Parts: sequence; structure tokens; C-alpha cells
Amino acid sequence: MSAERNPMGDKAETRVDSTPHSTSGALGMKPLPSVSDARAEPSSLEASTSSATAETANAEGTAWLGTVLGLAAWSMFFASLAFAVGWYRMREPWPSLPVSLLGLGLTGLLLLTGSAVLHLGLQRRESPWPARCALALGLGFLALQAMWTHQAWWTEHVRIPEGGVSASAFHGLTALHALHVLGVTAGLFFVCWRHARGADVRASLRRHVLGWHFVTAMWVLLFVAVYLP
Amino acid sequence: MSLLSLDHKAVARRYLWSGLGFLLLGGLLALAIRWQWAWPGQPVPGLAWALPESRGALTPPTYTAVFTMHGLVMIFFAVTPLLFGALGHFVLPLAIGARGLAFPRLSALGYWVYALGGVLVLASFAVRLGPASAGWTAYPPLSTSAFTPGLGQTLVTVAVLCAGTSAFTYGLNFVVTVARCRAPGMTWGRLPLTVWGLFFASVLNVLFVPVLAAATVLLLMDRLLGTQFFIAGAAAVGGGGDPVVYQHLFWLFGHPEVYILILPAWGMVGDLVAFFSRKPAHGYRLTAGAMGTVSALSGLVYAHHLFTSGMSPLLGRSFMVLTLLISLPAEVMFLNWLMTLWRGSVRLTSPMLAALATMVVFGLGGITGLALGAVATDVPLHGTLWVVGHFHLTMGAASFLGVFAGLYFWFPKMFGRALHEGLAKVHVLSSAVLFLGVFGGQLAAGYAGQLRRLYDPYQYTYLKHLLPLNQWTTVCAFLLGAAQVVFVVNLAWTLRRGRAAEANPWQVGTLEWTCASSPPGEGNFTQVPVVLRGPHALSQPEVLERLGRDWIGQAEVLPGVARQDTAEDAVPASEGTVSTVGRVT
Repeated sequence: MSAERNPMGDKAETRVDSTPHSTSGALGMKPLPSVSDARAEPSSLEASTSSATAETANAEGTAWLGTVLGLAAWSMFFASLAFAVGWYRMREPWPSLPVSLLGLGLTGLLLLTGSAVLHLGLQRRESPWPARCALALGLGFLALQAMWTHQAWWTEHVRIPEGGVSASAFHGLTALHALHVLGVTAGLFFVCWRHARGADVRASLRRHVLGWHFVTAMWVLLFVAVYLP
Repeated sequence: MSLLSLDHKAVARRYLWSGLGFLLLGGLLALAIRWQWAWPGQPVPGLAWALPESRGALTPPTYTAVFTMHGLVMIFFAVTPLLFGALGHFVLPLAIGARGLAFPRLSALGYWVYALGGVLVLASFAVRLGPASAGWTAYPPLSTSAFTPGLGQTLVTVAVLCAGTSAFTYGLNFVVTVARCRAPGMTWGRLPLTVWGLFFASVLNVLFVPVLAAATVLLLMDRLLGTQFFIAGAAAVGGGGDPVVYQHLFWLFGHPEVYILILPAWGMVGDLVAFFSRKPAHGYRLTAGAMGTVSALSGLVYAHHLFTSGMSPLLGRSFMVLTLLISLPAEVMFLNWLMTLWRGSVRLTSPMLAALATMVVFGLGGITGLALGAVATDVPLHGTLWVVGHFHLTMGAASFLGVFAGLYFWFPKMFGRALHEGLAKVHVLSSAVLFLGVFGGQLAAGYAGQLRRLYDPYQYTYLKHLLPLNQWTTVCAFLLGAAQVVFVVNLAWTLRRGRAAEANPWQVGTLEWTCASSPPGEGNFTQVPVVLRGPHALSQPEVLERLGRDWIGQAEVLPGVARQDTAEDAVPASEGTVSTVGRVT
């Protein structure tokens, strides 16, 4: 019988996780007393307070990682759509969109502005105005996108199915992206709502700002893949 | 535990029952397919109520729907939920020493989205034009409303989107849980191989399910909104799209999907052969690395499913080379399993038998895949039953046996009761032998030229001689179905009247067996364990000497030893603190 030891069993390796008890806080469960706390023997109130703070910070870190990974992975959705569009456009050139490219670009500028506003707003933690401003910009973006697609359909006759795959891509991908913007904007609305009711929304806001940056980046992809001639 | 519970164990149980239910449905659909091949056009016993106009015989459109739904139900609603939903949700937090998943509400939501998809699948059987009938791959233009009108195809397409959403959520949950919620001392190098398998499969889920979502959403837009992404030729309006785009998008998901279906099983086999050979897993790092390499390459080989689609031969050659390369890590892993078994003290328990059977069927299935990975041999074999035999051996039999290896291994932990070991072994052995019979027969039929998805192969003169072979494999299939009754009886009887399981019946050292009760309570552990060693600390001399047994828990302090690490890491022991790098400081 082999007496070989587990080659990994005795090696100490640096953990990714930096806190010893990272589990209970992530679930909102009652945190365990940290083993390191036992050594110093602080008062029980101080121990539980510092432990709770550490657990909350850990839970926020976990949620942040989940948001980052989730959004990064979901970019594959838009990458696949761009792949499909690239395939069609390489096979056969598309007619230029009869909708104003400048108008479409300025619409996207709303998202870019929102990204900048939210990024700067995160520095000023207590003010609700950056988030509210972004909310308005998001709704403005959706309204303008709806206007361009309406104009394309009714005035310029870029229609489905008559317009073929180029019209399908314009309307379809614009709608899919708009749905994502709607989701992020709705999330921001609820963050503002909760803030107005006195909740601490800093961590939640940070995650929603990441979502905003995501839809902004995906808009750039959409613009380059579909809108640009 | 209530239906609204956020506990990962409760979510796991929901997936278990749903997955087993859909496994039954998928299995019955398979038997209908087998009946058609053995007795084409003959009334299927017991189906007259569903097909009154043909008196229970499958008609060509019905047959098409049957094989479509068999594939979709098995992949998206049976095997994946059993591997990830049931086993993954249950085992992963326990095995890493976490109190639960990183996002409990997300895991509960994921189940209900999957359940919605399941309801849509079942509903599709009741609509007028029947369920989906464009193949599980749903290639356009057949799957568009031009050629498969009706609500059934749409419902099932939405159901696949639901299943994909569920997979994305639990994939994300698992990745973050492993990254962030490991117990102190549980370094990446001390993770059980099952966790590695689940982790890599979850990475693939998270990366490639969005690609399926894109393909499916574009298809849905074609069906419902009149877009032209995949419609070309006579049905196209104003310069249509290209159906081949769907194939590229689908297989960009589809090939990683097959690795998603097998990676957890590979991980489980790696752990189980170590546990039941009473030896550390040979080449633990190589095995984990092989799983990672396969995951990394999985997206780069997808177009071997498209060798006959009119792709450039240069692309074909490139994908061929990558496909043959991706077989190498799997071979490394296989050799590691064999070396673990070599000169081990092998215990042929039911999980071990299932793991060994998984190895056998996967080995055979994998080798048949090499013929499909090379363009020259793929061209005559594409679309034949050789392909069907290959993927059923690797994806059906191996994943299925992997599921049962996991179920038999963790059942005492999940339910606190012990399944009847004799019945379990009968189930595993009979299933393994009959799998080889059924899918080996398909390989033979495919090699002889029988194409897949044919309603009546014997209308072709060159296939008439295959009737006895197909009848033989049908008999094996029905016996395989009957063998599952052994499991159902075992399960039902044990849940009602089974004896209580021991705390650690398999005598292994992983955290779920050594630090949690059976079944684990809320929060999993009374105290979060501090991990001191890897998962395969078996047959270690000092453990034998000090504890009189051949295993030690991952978090168990070895008496008489001040520190648990190697001499190079020696630091003086002191009380009370444990650093995050797994040493007593």
C-alpha cells in the first residue's frame, strides 16, 4: 500500500481570501467569533462589533466580485451578437442607416456622461444627485433610442422583415441593448428610492455603477458593429 | 425544509426531485425512439391515448418531436440539474467548509427559473402542433416559424433560455463561493477534485451560456418578431440572414456544454478512486490542471461539429488539430485515475463501482470521439449513429453514471440514511453493462451507415440488415430502463424505512464527512472548520500509528504533533490563532 503523502496536504499556500471567517457574513448569518479575537480578549461588545463590521465588509466584497464576474461573463452575450453581425457584414455590405449617425452618437453620449457622473459621484458618498442625474440620463437615452427606431421604422422604412438582416440587426440589437439599459436604470431607481428612505446604499450603488459602465461599453460595441457604416 | 428556503441543501433537494422526474420523462422518450427502430410504425404499447389517430404508433412528425424532446429534456432538465443543481448545490459549500453559497437568494431564484422552464417543456406536449421538433440543436431554418410553426417550439425555446439563465446564476454562485467562501486553511491545493470539477464547469457555464442566450434570443426574434437573422433562400425577405451563423453560435456554447456535463463527473471520479483505493489521488495537480486545460480549450474546438457545414478546409484543419489536442488532458487524467487504482487497497463500494463504470464508458466514448475529431473520418460518420453512440457514451452514460456515483456517495450525508448497498451495486453494474450494449450497438449501426434521426431506416436497402442489431439494442434499452427500477425501489424504501447512516460511512477525510452531521443542519457546521491538509490524506503512516486508522479528516488535529505542515514550513505552535495561509502560527 502506498505510503505516499498527499503532495498538496502539507504545503501552505497563500489563500485568495483575506479574512479567516468569510462564510457566515456572506450569508447574513450570525457571525462566528473570529479565532484571532480570542487572543486579545476584548469586551464582548467590541468583539462582536468588529466581527460584524468585518463580516459586512466581506459580504460586500463577495457581492462586488459576483457583480464583476457576472457582468464580465455577460459581455459574451453581446460579443456573440457582434460576431453574428460581423459575419453578416463581411458576407455582404449593409446599406447605411438612414438615421442620423450624429444623433445616434449623441444618444450614446448620454450613457457616457452618466458613466462620468456616476464615477465622480462615487467620490462624494452622501450626495444623491449623481445617481438621480444618471437616472435621468438613462431615461433620456431610452427615450431617444425609441425615437430613432420609431423614425427608422415609420419614416425611413427600415422595417422587419422587409429590411432583411440589416434592419433585423438594427432593431433587434437596439432593443436588446435597451432592455439592459432599462434593467440598470430600474436598479438605479430602486437604489435612489432606498436612499431616500434612509438606507445605506453605498455598496449597492457601486455595483449599479458597474452595471452602468457595462451597458455603456456594450453601447460602444453596438455602435461600432451595427450603426457605423 | 420549505419550498421557499434559501438553504443550499433545500435547493439541492428541489433540483434532485425535479431532475429525477425529468430523467424519467427523458428515459421514456428514449424508449419510444428505440421502439420505433425495432418495430417501425408499430403501435407503441400504452401510447394509444396520446396518439389516437395512429392508434399509438409514432408518425414521422411525432417521432421528430420525440427525439427532439428526449435530447433537450435530458441535457437541460435532467443531467445538468442533477449534476449541478442537486450534487453541486449540496456538496460544494460543505466540501469547502462554507456555511452556504455566496448568494443564497440567487440560488433559490435559479431553481425557480429552471422550474418555470420545466413547466414550459411539459406544457409544450399539450399544445396542438406538439412540442419542439427541430432536433435538440434547433437548427434554423427548420426551427424558425417558416418550417416549424406552432407554439410548442417557441415554448421549448423559451424553456431552454430559462434553463440557461438558471445555469448562469448557479455557475456564478459556485465560482464566487469557491473564490470567497472557503474555510480557513482551505487553499486551492486542498480542494477536493469534485470541487475543482464543479468550479471549472461553472466557469464554462458563466462564459458560454450567454452565447446560447444570444443564439436563442435571435432565434426567438426570428420566430416571433419576423426578423431575418437565420432565414435565407426562398423564405427570406429583403436579403435574408444565414442559418450557419446559428450553428456557429450554438456550438460555441454546445461544445463547452459537453465539458460542463462531464467535468463534475471527472472530479467525482478523481475523488472516489482515491477514497476507495485508500490512496491519495495520483497527480492531483496534473488532474486539476488537466481539467483547467480542457476548460480553456473547450471554446476553441467547437467547429468540429461543423466540419460538414461548408467551412473553409483551413479552418477545418485548425479545429481538427485543437480537437485532437484537447483529448490529451483527458488522457492524462485517465492515466492518473489508473495510477491511483494501481496497488491501492480497492474497496468495491457502489460509488466506486459507479466511478469505475464511468471510467470505462467514458474511455470507450472518448476514443470513438477521435474518429469524429479528424475531418477525414468525420465526413462519412457525421450524422450517423456513430455520433449518437459517441455522445451517449460520453455525455449520457458517463455523466449519468457520474450522477449516480455522486448520489450513492453523498446520499447518507444528504438524507442521513443508508441506501441498500446490494441493490445499489446491482443497479450500477447492470446499468453500466446495458449502457455498453445500447450505445455500443449504436456505434456499430452508425459505422454500418445508419443515419441519425431517421424515422424508418429500413426503407433504405443498405440498412435493412441492421434490423436485428437495432432490435437487440432496443432490448438492451428496455432492460436498462427496467434496471432503473432497482434504484427507485432502493430510494423509496430507504427514504421511508432505511436505517440511519453512520457519521462517516466511507471513512474519508473531506469536510462534509468529518465536520458536519448527516444531514447537516442550518449553517452546516457547529463551528467553521480550520483545514490542515488535503482531501486525500489516506494511508499515511503517522496517522496509522497514532490513530489506528487509514484516514484523517482535513480539519482533524493529529495528536502528538505540534504542527501539521512540512518541516520547511516549521513555526512554533501557539494557541488560539490560525492564519489565512493554512498554518498554525
